[in-house]
Amino acid sequence: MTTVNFRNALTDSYQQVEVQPGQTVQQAVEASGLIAAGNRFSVRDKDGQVVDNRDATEFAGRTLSVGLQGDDVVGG
Amino acid sequence: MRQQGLVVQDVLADAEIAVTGTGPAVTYLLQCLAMLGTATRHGRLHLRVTDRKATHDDLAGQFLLRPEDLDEPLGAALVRRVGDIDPAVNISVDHAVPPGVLTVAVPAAGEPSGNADIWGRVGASTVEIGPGPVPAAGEPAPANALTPALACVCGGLLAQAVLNRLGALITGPAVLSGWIEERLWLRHPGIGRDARATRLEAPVLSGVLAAPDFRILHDGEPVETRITTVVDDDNVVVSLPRRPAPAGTATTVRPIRRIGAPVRPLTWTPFAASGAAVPDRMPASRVVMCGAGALGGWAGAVLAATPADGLDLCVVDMDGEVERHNLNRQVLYTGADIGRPKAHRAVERLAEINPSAELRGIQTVIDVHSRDQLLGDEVMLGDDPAVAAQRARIDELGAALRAADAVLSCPDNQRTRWVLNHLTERLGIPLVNGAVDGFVGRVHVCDPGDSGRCLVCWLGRAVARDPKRQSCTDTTGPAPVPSIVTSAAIVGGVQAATLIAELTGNAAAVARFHAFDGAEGDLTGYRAAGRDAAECPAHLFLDTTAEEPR
Repeated sequence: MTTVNFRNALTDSYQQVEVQPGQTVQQAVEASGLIAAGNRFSVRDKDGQVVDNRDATEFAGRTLSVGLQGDDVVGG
Repeated sequence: MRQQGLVVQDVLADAEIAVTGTGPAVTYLLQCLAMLGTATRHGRLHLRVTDRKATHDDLAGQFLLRPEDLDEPLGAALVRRVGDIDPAVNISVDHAVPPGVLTVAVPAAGEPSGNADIWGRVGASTVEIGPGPVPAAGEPAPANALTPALACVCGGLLAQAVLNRLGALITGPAVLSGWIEERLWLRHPGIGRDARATRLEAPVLSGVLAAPDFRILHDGEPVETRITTVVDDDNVVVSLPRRPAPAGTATTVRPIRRIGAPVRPLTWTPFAASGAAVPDRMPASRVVMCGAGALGGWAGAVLAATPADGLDLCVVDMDGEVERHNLNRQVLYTGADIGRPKAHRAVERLAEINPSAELRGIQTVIDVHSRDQLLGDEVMLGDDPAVAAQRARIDELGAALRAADAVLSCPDNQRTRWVLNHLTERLGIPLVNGAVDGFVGRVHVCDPGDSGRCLVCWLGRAVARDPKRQSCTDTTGPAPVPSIVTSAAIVGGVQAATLIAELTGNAAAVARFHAFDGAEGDLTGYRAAGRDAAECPAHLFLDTTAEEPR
């Protein structure tokens, strides 16, 4: 069994999710029910890189942060 | 104008808008409308204010009206100050407004509510906006330390609601420049990638762009333009065919407009939990503000306008001078300031707003190399006069940081944010970070004393290696960056409000993350997750060398 830990950055809820080969990170979060259906979200690794479309099994045993899309806003 | 990729300027210039009421948000709304270029052609701003003289209450908590406006007729004073921002704005006091004019109401306590298309109200700790009719007011909320910041947010949200209601927002390809010779900068998601995929040297724009309603016209007729340069995945330069242009011919762009939308009811507060007690005045506070541009301008001015027992504000900016393209959203500057040193001009203007504040301006870059000097852990050596001058600036800033109660982070790049985050984590003081891009904005409240997530928790370690400046200055990036005053006022106001909430002892109730989406008319605050003790602050200190910029 391959699992990934997803942490919702906005609500602090935390869920260990079993992921399947060929499943993207975003699909794994949607299937987990961590985010309400229809809500747009983005998943980042510890380095801050968006990993939405990466294979979820690449992150086995690691913790990923689920937050809003567009958090790479830079201007001031 | 740096907003031309975001809004259709002609729609704003021809807009007829009535502003009614003298609530705390009225000056902020008028500042935003004037800086947007509203009513500068065929349009008009109709000001419907009660026929009375300006009072101390009118002058408090704002920075449009000046001290010399006291006891002057209020309407005339507002008209004069809007004219100071942009003399081209057609504005007048009109008690009878023509039918069909978009009406925005900002009623003060006790003022008649009446009818309006859009209304906004400032409470003790909340901002409300919504579509008409204006609901009856409850108990009037006496002004407190949060009122100026909430008024700023409210004024910005109302101006954004005006943009949305007018259908002024551009959707689809954004034009980032005026015509430069025969060329034009265009931004659209994937346009550069799609142009490259054609493998043609100069593909026809209409063959690449899946937006048939976007037109480039020559004398009213569609003209075939080609993509001659791919800047990056989302930015290209298009060129007109070379041909002699007789005098009087004109090339124009017909953008795609978002359909005008009624305002969505919205309530915003800097707090995520009840129980916050907001005092009338901010306690004596020492703040370092990094970045005196769009966000820093609004946040700093609001802070200066906030009633306080004392304010010590150190303003840092890396830019040398005020430039013309700053003026569409950077509220501290006017055309008379172009060419003047930015940090010092900001301090002069803030001193006009609050003559009793202790203010300092420092022009310097805050980068990873100065981090340890700012903490006092390293000393810069060298006899060169330039090194000595920089050492003096860093010493002054380091002293201000080590004495500060909080830091306002308003730079235009992630690497500076990373350094500021490192400094505030080491010093154990709150960092209130703001960022904005077009109609999207973010505010992070990172308070180590409240176990809130630090900025690296939020954005990842990669920010330490991201030197990209998201600046209006064309020379700092591949393409001009569109930017607009509504986002600046709202995000800067949210920064000021959350900072004041922190400084008034309400950290445990503060919403630590705020997301603004102007196109959707949304501003939402979240308490958000606390820091993960297993990671933070370990990611800051244990592997510092790996985080150094490469």
